[in-house]
Amino acid sequence: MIEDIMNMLFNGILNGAVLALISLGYSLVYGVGGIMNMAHGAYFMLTGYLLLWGMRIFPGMLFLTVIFVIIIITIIGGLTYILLIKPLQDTHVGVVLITFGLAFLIEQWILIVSGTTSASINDYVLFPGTTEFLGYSMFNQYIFFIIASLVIVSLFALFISKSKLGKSIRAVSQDREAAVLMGINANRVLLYTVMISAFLAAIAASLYLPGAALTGPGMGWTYLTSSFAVIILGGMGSLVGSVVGGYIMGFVTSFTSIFLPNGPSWAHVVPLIVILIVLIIRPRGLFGKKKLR
Amino acid sequence: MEKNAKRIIAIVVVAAIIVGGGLTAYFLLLAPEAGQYVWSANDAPGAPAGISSSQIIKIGCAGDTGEIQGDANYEGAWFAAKTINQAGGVVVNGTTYYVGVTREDTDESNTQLVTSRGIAAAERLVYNKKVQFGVGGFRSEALLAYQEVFMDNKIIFIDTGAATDIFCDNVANFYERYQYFFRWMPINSTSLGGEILTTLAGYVMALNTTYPNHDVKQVGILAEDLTWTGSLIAAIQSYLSLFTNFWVQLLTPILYDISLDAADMNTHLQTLASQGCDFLIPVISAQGGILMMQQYDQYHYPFQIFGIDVQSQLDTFWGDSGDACAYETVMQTLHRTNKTTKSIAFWDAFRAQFGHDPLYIAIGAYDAVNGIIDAINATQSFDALDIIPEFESWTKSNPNPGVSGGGAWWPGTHDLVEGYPYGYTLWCQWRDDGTKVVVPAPRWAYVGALGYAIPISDLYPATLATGAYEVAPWVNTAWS
Repeated sequence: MIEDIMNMLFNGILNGAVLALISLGYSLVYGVGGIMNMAHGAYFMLTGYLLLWGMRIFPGMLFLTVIFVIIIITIIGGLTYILLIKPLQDTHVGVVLITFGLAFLIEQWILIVSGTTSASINDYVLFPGTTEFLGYSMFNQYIFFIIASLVIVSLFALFISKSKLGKSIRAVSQDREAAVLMGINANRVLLYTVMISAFLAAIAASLYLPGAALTGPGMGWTYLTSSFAVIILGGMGSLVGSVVGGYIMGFVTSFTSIFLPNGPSWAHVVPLIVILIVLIIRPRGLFGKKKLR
Repeated sequence: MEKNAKRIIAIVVVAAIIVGGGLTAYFLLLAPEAGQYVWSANDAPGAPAGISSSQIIKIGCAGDTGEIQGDANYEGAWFAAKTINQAGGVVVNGTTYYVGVTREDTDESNTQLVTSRGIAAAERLVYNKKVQFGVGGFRSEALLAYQEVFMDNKIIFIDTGAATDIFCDNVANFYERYQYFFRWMPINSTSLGGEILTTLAGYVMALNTTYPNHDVKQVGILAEDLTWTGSLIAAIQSYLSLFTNFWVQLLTPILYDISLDAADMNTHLQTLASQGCDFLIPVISAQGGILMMQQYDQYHYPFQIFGIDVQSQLDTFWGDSGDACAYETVMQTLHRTNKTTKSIAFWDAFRAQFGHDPLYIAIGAYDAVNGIIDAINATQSFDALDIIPEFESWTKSNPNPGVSGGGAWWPGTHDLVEGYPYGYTLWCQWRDDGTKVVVPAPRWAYVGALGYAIPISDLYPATLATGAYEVAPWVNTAWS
């Protein structure tokens, strides 16, 4: 029984850490600009494939490859804003459609270049081996990922609350017109926001996928829909809600898998039921303050 | 002047659009056989250039293009066509015909399955490309839907990848409609379950002798929550329930949502480990296999893996999994061994052509196309109602073996006969150096009349084995 509880806790935290990191960026962009960036999951997936190719082309330069890939994804985030989102940002449907198209484009490009076969990038595992706690084995890379995820979320919270850019982001998030009147370049803030969001997705992929695997070019959609569910649960645009929602989703998923009859089959359904219940009770989500735009 | 120039340009553009649109509409909608696919020598690999469409035996491949399963189906059919065509084709009533293959994308490997895509692909094959035969199928849920297009049009369809029993049950129960359906690959789910269980029993008995300090007994199942795994697991459960508390104990099967990720897989494997699993039977056709093996390699779980993992059948799996699949033992239709007299030559030629091992579906498609040509040759006819009786004559007493064995169907069901030398799989194990060997397949089975299990004939002759079965070092430590 203790092993089952440990199993639920550890994998719940692991699942939650992944979802929190991805959802944080997704929610940030929505909160600041009211933008639904449907290419967010594709950033995560693309990071994995760039790492895979980097691993094969530059086998001795793993660390540099990771840095390089994160920079590339961050730049792609910026380009997404400049070339696709900015010209259409007055129409939310337009942004959804164009970023949806971008996600498909990236997926199809990966499909052509790399095929659909799943692949491992375990060369990037920094901490091989396992650590035992209360008779339960934990993969060291996952422990590292969980700690790193918490550190990143904390640093991000500090950045948003203390830095000048973070304050600008909050200002635009709260009232874009007032922020512009105060001399804040809202477009530039949005550009940085999308880049930060892509950066977070790339960080999440770089830390998590070496211990996991690339399950195909379509994997981005799984993470996109999961993070979408998380930010609905947490409250659209709420950064705290994204983190809390991610962990709730993670725990509910692992609890369902382990403790409910036929749990593994229901593992991705029960969290959605929980979200529905939460939304019935609190339509804005757990931490949502704004009306949905 | 400038205004006139603009007018002229505008008129030219409008005229070009009208003419172009008209021509397109004519060729797509109005011309004889408008919109229909025109078969040519390009569709018949290895055939002489300039052959006419009427000289081509038109075979449609239904599979998920871009996925290993769909690509394998096309590779196998294409390679069979090339081999047959290079050998001179087939002469029917004095005319030489060549084999043409074409494919349509059913998208059936997609985790978010949309069955209408498979139906649309089958319709393109049947109505647009006018195929005379169909080969393919992988995901049972998809094939159940799109096989109807072939049955509606009374076109023979040979299943090369879907295992669910229901396809051939349909033939038995509704023969008039489903007589056009045959399964060449794989053996059905129930038979797969039986082969897994009896061979696993053989190893459990042997390993309990090797490891007297450990009771090798607990068997777990990790399976995709899909149609094809249902009857297979039911078969394993029904057999295993006879042995419960005797020599083996079945843990609650874990059926997972195929969109799972690493954390989910980790949860399942940890659950099995905490329950004391000694042997894990994976029943996996998609990306779950790589997640499983990566976790297995990272955690060194104290159980052996012994079952079905489709991606692991490919030689590329070693690299794809990051060298993480050592000691996994999987069912594999063929490896480089003398399963039939044609096997090794086929294996080498296929590898030379494509640069990788053939997946089971490729082997099924290769045998299916050869079987179609054999039947056409024997009957000198392309008519399904002539060919079906010829196919049906290929029974255990009159088999038509291909490169994988096979070539014999059960009367009335059109299902591949299970068991040596017809439909059986090899058991292949990955070594820690990235090689893969065929291991022996000792079997035990429960005999109701005796009330206990006894050794029965091996699944295949020991001469087919190319290496001994190995226990992973960490499992060896745990069991010792």
